[in-house]
Amino acid sequence: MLNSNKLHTALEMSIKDMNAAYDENEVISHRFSWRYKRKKRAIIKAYQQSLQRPEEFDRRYRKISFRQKVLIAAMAIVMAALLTGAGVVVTYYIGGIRAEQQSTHTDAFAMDWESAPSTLEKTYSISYDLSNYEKNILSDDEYQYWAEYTNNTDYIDFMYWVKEAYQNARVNTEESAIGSMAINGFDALYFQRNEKDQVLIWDNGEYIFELHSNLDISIIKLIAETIYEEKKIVNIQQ
Amino acid sequence: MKKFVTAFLIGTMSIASFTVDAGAYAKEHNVVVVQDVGQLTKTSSLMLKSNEAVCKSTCSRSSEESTSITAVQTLEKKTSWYYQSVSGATWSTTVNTQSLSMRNSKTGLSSGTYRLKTVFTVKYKNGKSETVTVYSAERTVK
Repeated sequence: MLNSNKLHTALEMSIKDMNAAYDENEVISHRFSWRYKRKKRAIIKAYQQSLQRPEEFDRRYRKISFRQKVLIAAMAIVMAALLTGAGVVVTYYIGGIRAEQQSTHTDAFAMDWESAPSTLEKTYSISYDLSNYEKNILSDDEYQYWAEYTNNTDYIDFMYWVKEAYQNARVNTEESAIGSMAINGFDALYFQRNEKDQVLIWDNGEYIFELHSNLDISIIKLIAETIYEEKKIVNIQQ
Repeated sequence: MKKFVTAFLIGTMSIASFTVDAGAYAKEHNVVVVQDVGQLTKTSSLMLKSNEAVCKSTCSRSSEESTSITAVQTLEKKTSWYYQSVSGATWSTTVNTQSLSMRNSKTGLSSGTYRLKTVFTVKYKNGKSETVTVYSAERTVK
């Protein structure tokens, strides 16, 4: 590596050669840019200072060390993360549900889906009196049952799924805290949104249940605890 | 080096605070951002039966009244580098209700790994709207 003394000698020799090439009386018409002049002044000043403090000149103009490169790279990564809005993901395990909460929403997954029934083999109903609600079936197939009950502005959404279909469900928990609640002996994921909408999600071991409503949570919990499995009636011919 | 670190920290904190303010501005001015405005849950599910893919997408209601919900399902197959749309496996539906449930299927799938992409666009009575993309878990046809 070239040290400052050898650099000084090399520069001196170059300048002498350059001066020899020019006529003393020749007027140079080239106009140097402001940036060039500024850099030239800075280098000359640094060199003059280095004559008194050569260690400082070496420290200022030497190459960046490996440690400094690692530090700069780490800073660049942190800055990129902040600028792109990369956030923290908080993971909850509630009953048989894994919920990955981010700032804008939560991704919910039914765990252990491979050992659960792949189709709906059981039928569930609500025994709570909802006779003053209008019932609308939105889905009734081998993977999901979904009934919507409405009464003016009040609503109750009751659904249950095979676990395989409940993967990466996007749950709107933005600005909501996720909690848990006991429903029929199962741990249910619970959150409230905008002080109006309540959501309960739980795993009964075979299927994933969801109950959404804008009613008071105490009523929703009552409704949830009246969910029962309908027994199949088998006719035996004699 | 110390001056550089100090300048970096000050610069980063200044830029980070600007980013937060930008988010607040977007929220106040009904700018569509990738966050869930109203609907409570959205799902995109892919189930395989033999070599048939069953594609189910749902978008459930909330107290925030919607005027329309549009869902576009696209079945995608994984290649070495990216996901490619499967030919003849794109479906779209629009409803003027508070919730949406949609089911489609595609048969004759070749072996490989698939996923279902669903793009939900919901418009609300208060003038807000949201567009959210949800991906299903991957499933493999052997």
